[in-house]
Amino acid sequence: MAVRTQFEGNNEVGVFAKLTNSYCLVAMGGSENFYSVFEGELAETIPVIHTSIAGCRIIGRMCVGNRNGLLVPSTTTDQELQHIRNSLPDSVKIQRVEERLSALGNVIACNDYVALVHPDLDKETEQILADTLKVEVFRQTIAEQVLVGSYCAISNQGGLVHPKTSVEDQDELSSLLQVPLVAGTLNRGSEVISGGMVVNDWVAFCGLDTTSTEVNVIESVFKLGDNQPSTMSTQMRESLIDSMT
Amino acid sequence: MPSFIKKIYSNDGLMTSVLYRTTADIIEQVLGKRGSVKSLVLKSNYQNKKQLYAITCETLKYRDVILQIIAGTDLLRHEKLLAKSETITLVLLYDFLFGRGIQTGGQFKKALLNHKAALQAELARLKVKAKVTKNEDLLSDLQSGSIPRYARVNYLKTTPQNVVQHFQDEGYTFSPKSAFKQPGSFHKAVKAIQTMQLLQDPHIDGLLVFPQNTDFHKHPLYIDGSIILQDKASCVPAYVLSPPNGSHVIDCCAAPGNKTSHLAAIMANTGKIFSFDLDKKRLETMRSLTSKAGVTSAELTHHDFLTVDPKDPKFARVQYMLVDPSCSGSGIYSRLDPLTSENMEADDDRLANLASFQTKILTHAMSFPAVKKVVYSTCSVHQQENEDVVAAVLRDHRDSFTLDTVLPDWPRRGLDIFAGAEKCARMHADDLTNGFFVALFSKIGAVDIDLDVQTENGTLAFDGQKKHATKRKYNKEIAQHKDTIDIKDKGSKSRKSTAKHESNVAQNEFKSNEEPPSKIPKVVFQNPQITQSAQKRKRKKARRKSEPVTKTHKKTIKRNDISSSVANKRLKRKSNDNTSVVAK
Repeated sequence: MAVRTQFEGNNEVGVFAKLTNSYCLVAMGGSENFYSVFEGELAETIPVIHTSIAGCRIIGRMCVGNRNGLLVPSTTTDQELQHIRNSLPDSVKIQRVEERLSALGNVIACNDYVALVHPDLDKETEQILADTLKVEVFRQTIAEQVLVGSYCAISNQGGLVHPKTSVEDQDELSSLLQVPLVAGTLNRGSEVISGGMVVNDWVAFCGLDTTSTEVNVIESVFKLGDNQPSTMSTQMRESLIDSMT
Repeated sequence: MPSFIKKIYSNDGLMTSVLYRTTADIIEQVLGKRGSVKSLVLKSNYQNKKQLYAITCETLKYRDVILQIIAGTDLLRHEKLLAKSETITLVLLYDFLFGRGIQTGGQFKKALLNHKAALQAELARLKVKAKVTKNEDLLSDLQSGSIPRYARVNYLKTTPQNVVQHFQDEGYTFSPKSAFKQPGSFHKAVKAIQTMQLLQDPHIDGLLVFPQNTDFHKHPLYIDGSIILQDKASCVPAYVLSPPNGSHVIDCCAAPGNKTSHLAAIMANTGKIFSFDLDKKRLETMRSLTSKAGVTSAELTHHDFLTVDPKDPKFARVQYMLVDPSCSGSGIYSRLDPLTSENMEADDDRLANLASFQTKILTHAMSFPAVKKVVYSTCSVHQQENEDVVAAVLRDHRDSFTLDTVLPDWPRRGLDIFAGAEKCARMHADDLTNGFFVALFSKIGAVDIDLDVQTENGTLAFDGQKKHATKRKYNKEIAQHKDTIDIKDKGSKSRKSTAKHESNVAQNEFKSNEEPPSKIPKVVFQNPQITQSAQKRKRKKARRKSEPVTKTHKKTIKRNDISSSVANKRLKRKSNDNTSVVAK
């Protein structure tokens, strides 16, 4: 399901949190309300880690990760690195990368299998990305924007991209990612998709301003919640079969 | 570390890097058209030829894909080491992405591994673009080598039944041609052919189809010459010509001899085949090949066919010509040509030269006095070498030669650039063969010097021809000999009647191992070893007794056993001719 929340009155949830299938990072210094939303949804299944990266709260834009690993910029302090490593599950590798484009979250978008990256990303970073996150790396733009990390959000189930992405681009992207994509907005028309939301395979968090239409789109493309056509049909079928027997 | 330990330690890496280097060398030479893959592999010093051949072919196959990947990742700009030798990069990338993974250590591996992610991503991107999931699907149909392996049963050594039996004993499953009656079913079956499967070709007698990767080089049937590996396309000309037993045939550009051996098999080693070739080395290969195939009726001559004198009495009885001149070879896909030539577009000058040579040789072949049928074939797909040559020759011989329809059931006909082009046949990779073109000329008013029509007049006609070299005079002479023409007509009628029978027999071909029905006398009138006078005597004898099944029957029955059903067919035809004459 998709949950609406706010960080200190700010709708850009994706800036202050990083969500994957095996862990969740949230920025320090927020209100307890923000944490409890995450912990309420996730704490039973994956660790929710309170941290800062390079002393900043904008951790969602600074780092990139998936089920297999986490990449943090070279500006991350040793203390932060140690803290994150201690809190992460053992199966998750963490790696610091020397990258000129240090806001990794803005230049890289990934799920557990594929990463889309800024065309100018360093070769070495690309290599580390492929090795640590175990993904295939594609240099790509989205709606002619180089900041692929900002303008799309992808999970293993689906993806939401910048509203101005052309149909051809969507086709190409979705065949690269092997998941269905939808062009759309959130937070009442914001096009900075992953600034406004975080998503994994079973839950999404988006800004409080997100309209219910937007939430609907998100839930259907990321296959969240119970209102899936498939679940509906199975339920229907069960009741139908019930009545027929 | 002591130096010797180091040496042993690095031995494996060294070997493989030698492999990569050798492969790169070969590919460079192949691309520079300085040799074929096969010959270069055999020439190289590398021990494991099989491995070398495999990696070379595969790299060439994937070359286009790899080049795209290199371009897409800008690999050569990033790695100076790889930029120095592009071909070695090609080989390394093949092994890295499609093969067993890089087997060498050292700087090359390091250079490549730096770009591992990008390279793999680019490959994935190519696959996504082509909408395929498997690497093999990236290759076009041509490159994946969809042409199956064809093997022709050598009727001089064995019969299709025996060969099929042999393969069935090895565990092959056999589908006879009766299974391919529906149009397109054969094509489908070949496309879906599996290992240990064997099909009978419905178009050409005695041709078997195997999966593409079947390895025959150690197979006992291949070694003893019972089967001959010959593409379907190159079986066509001899099959189209199908000279009757005892004819004299010239194979103008014979090497490597598959067509000559096919002709000999069709004629059951009777008659005479004069094979010419310009290349001494290739002729030597041909000599060993034909002797392995058991061909005894061929006379191989190292001579330029263009300088052969048509008036030489030696060739006075040559009625059949197989003209398969050197060509651009643009149809031969199995030679890895499309892998190596950047594009198939033709070099016009070269084509023009070839076409003029082909025209010359075809014209020369037509100038032989007794010639009745000339089959012209090339393994080229270019119109200049095919239809254009035929049209030009036909224009010059408007009064003396016409085109006959070849392979009437074959759907792909000659390009429609002159009237009658539809009588020629073309083949294409889509037909699961090499590219090929074949046309059959027949002489207008040609007189049968049918060797088995033993009337006085028949011999007269032959003599007459000898005396009057000029065509017109010769024709006049013929016109005067009304009897001759009568006989000829009868001959052709009886031929028609046998044709039906032949087709019946052909259907039963694989069903029964028995000898043909007894009402058809099994007499071989012609034996290559027998001199002409001896032949005449024998014939006279046969005629006097007015029963064609005589002593000769017993003599030849052994040969009948080993000789082909094709040969049997010819025999039938012969004997029918003979009986009609006798009846008269």
